[in-house]
Amino acid sequence: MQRSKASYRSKDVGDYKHPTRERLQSASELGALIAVPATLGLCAYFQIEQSALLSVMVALCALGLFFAGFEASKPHLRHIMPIVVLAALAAAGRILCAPLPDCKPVSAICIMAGSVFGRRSGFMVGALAALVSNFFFGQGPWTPWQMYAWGLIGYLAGVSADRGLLKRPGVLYTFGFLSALLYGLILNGWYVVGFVHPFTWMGAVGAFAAAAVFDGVHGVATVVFLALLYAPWQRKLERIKTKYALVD
Amino acid sequence: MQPIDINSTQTKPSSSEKYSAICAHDLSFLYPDGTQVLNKLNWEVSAGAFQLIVGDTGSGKSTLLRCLQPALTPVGTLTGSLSVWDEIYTDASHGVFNPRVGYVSQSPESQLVCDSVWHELAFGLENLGTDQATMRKRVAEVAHFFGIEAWFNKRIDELSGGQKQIVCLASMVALRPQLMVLDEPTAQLDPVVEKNFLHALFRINRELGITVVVATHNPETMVDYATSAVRLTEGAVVPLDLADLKAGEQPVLSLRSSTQNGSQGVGALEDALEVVSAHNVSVRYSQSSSLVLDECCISVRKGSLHALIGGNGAGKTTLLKTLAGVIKPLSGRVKNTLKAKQAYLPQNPKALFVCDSVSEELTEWQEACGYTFDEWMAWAKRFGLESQLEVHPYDLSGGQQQQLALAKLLLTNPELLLLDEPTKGLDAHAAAVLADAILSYAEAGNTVVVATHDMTFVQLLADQVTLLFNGQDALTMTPQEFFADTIFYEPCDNAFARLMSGGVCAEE
Amino acid sequence: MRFLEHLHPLVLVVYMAGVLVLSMLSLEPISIALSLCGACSFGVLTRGWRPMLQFVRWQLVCVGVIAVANFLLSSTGSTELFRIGMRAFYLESLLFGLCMGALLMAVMVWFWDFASLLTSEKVETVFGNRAPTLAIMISMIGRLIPQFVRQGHEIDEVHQACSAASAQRSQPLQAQFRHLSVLAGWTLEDSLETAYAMKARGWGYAPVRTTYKRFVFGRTDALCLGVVVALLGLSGVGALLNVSSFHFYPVMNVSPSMWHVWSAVLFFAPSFVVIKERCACNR
Repeated sequence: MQRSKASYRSKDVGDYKHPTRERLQSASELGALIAVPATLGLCAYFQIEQSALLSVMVALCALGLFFAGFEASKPHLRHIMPIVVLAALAAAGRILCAPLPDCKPVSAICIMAGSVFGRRSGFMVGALAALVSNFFFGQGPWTPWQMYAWGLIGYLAGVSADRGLLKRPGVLYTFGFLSALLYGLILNGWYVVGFVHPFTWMGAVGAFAAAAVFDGVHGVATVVFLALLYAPWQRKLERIKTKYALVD
Repeated sequence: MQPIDINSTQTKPSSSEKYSAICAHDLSFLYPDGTQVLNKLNWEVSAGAFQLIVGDTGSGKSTLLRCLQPALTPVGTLTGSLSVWDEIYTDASHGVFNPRVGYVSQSPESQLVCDSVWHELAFGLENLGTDQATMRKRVAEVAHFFGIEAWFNKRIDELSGGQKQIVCLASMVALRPQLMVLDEPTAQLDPVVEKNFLHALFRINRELGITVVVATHNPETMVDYATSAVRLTEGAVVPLDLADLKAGEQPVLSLRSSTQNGSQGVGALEDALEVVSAHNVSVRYSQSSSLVLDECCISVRKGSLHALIGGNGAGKTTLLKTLAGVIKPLSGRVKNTLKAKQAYLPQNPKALFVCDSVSEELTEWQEACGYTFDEWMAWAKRFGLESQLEVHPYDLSGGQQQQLALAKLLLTNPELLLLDEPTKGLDAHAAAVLADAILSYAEAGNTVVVATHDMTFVQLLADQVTLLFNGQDALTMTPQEFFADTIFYEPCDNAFARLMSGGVCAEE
Repeated sequence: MRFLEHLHPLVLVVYMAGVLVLSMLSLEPISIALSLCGACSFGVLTRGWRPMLQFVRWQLVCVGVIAVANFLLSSTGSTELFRIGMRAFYLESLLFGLCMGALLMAVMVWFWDFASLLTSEKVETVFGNRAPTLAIMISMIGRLIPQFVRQGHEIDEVHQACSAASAQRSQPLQAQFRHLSVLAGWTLEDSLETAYAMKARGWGYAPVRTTYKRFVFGRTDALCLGVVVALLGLSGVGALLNVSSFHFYPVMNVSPSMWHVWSAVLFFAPSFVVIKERCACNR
């Protein structure tokens, strides 16, 4: 008997999806991501007393939507494994760099994940890294916010990379610095909006100014991580991407 | 492919059934890059057998084994016929998991998936969509069979290497395969743990009636359990006599020039300068953990090859790192006069690889250490890497990775070389090439400290042996004195020993 | 504690979520005080005084900052305390700040209390059936993190030990980053083997993945869940109705009512269970 096995199967990492469904999913993801800061803003504007609860609920819903979308997409191993390894690397990096406060490589790793593996993988890496590393660092009310913030950074990196924006180092570093500031804005935003009443813009600015030093350190650290790791890691990630195309 | 109801498949084939587990006819495999690894191969394994497959690195053992589980078959072109049990593999079965075939590979570390033992045992059953009651039963069964109950609730992270490999095997057996395929399952295990693992394997073969096929380059330890053996060579399967795989009876003789000159040489060593020493050193990794080294002493003379032996967890690696000065001892003194000129070969060479190709790897320290193009090319040639200079280090075989790492270290011209399990998991040829390089380095008057489980290596190369036990140095003597009166620690006249004695350097 | 450890994770998750939501929903001094006291008493009972005080020490600073910030930033209220220039400082705004700080502290302490009870494994059990792929991913990441940390240290030590290649000591920071790259390459490569091992055990074989249930939802669990849900319902409805009537500004109107009793029972239930267990042991 002579036969030949289907050979040279090489697959795209982004699987084919029905265009309408894909558009619908993208729209709902975008909506969920925007809803979180929008809620924070509305809570602040309308002086809602339960804003701590309300905004955390919206953040959890946004995370739930992403997770449900990922689960429903029946991901292949070539989607799952890089997310798992990068999330674990980010969390391990967070532990290895723990002696230096605010020098977390997590944001940088989320950006690299998003730019190589796409926006959804970027989001998953950020969200899962925050969730699981907090089993080591301690869970708290900050967990959903860290998940959202790092997920958002990965997502935005994926979107920017799709537009080819992150190829220029200058843009990449600016993106890294701004995303660290965004992270700080989201995490501090919840405390300010949720726990300072009545909310005043002056107060908010004061609170953010107080945290600016930490966010600045985080931003500079992210830029340094990107400057030194982006090129070598991108080679490693692309290599593993082609290898996974043969696995599954 | 017939859909298989795995819940109804019988694990034990009744004795009346006399069909073959594997039947391959004119089987060839061609990789997309044009490499032909299997060439019109004919192979049959009878049900209930325990078969060993030997063969050099690159002979296609792994490819052949992977073809038995369609889910793992590599991308490429397979021609000829292959059937496992009564199931004939066709194009349609490619990539489809066959629940009747279990597969275990080399590294216990990367084969495990979940974070706890119970989850690992259940993982495969979860994938098959097994219902709750069956899953509980199966998990309980295998946990009991392999004696895992005591650490059933532990995190994988807390297990030893041997326990991890047992969990790999058990989680496979939970799926009730009728054929178990193993690719170098004991390569990463030390001798005692290896025996335990082989014993478990033997039990699933004889007690559960699972047919076992094991690829190995260390057949001496497995030959007592096996019922048949084959060699894979030039893409074909050749039957072997089991007796031929047994270790030889020849005494293993030392290759060191110092010891061959008789007592005079040993005396010269004792007069040599002490370059590295530890005095009453105690080490522990955290406040809560127990001492890994407990008042341990060692003295290494200049120009000697000093072997550290002992069971798992005896503190060999820790002592090496303490001598290297990267672990600070809790108490005691460490003296290392060669601290600025040392090199350290870790157990896993991947810890050393920074670059994306072999040539970049070899030239990484060129600027800092000032060696020439000819020097690193000479090493590349010696280890047969000159045709693979553009290959990624990770794409090399395990033996070549180890050789590349050693070449990278020796290029820095160290005067002290610290080696952690240099021959672990290597086939005889790769181990001999590596050992030969270590030997010529030591013969040039350099100092080597090596932690190893490989007694043959110790007998051939070492001129001092320190047995570590319970965190202490139990004794230090020459290999000749040490092996004169031991029952368990014994050098073995295996392929590695024969290659070394036959002079592998002449062959290169 | 044994009782709580053996309770089905679902009960713990519902309790934890309920308590947090209730505390954040009510926003009223009595309820927040009860929540904080319940959390602290459970913490003291399960972990002891000393760790509790150590943990709370940092939280108290946080409470202080929020209270003072609120006091300074918002000048609303009716009971004027003092006035600097044109700016008035009111008692209500200080009280509100203290309440908010206490709420934040209560949330923190609840998380801290449940950290040892609600392990990642138990969280997986609750959400695993819904999202089997995510559950296995979380389990994998949980296993890899300690392994990667160990590998990271190993890489550092190995490169440090190779002193004959003197290049790396001159730029320690760059060396650190190189080591992080080595770790990434190594672990990504090993993950390929993990992927094959997953396929070798039938990953993706069945259309629907099942999950091994380690915890059986028994009658005790059902009873406990019933009690928790009932208490949550009673105090939740009370808190909701109170939301519209209670306010801090301009005058704070605190009035104890029946739902406070229900929420007190809820907040102190874990402490009660632990105390009861201790008594049974001592007897």
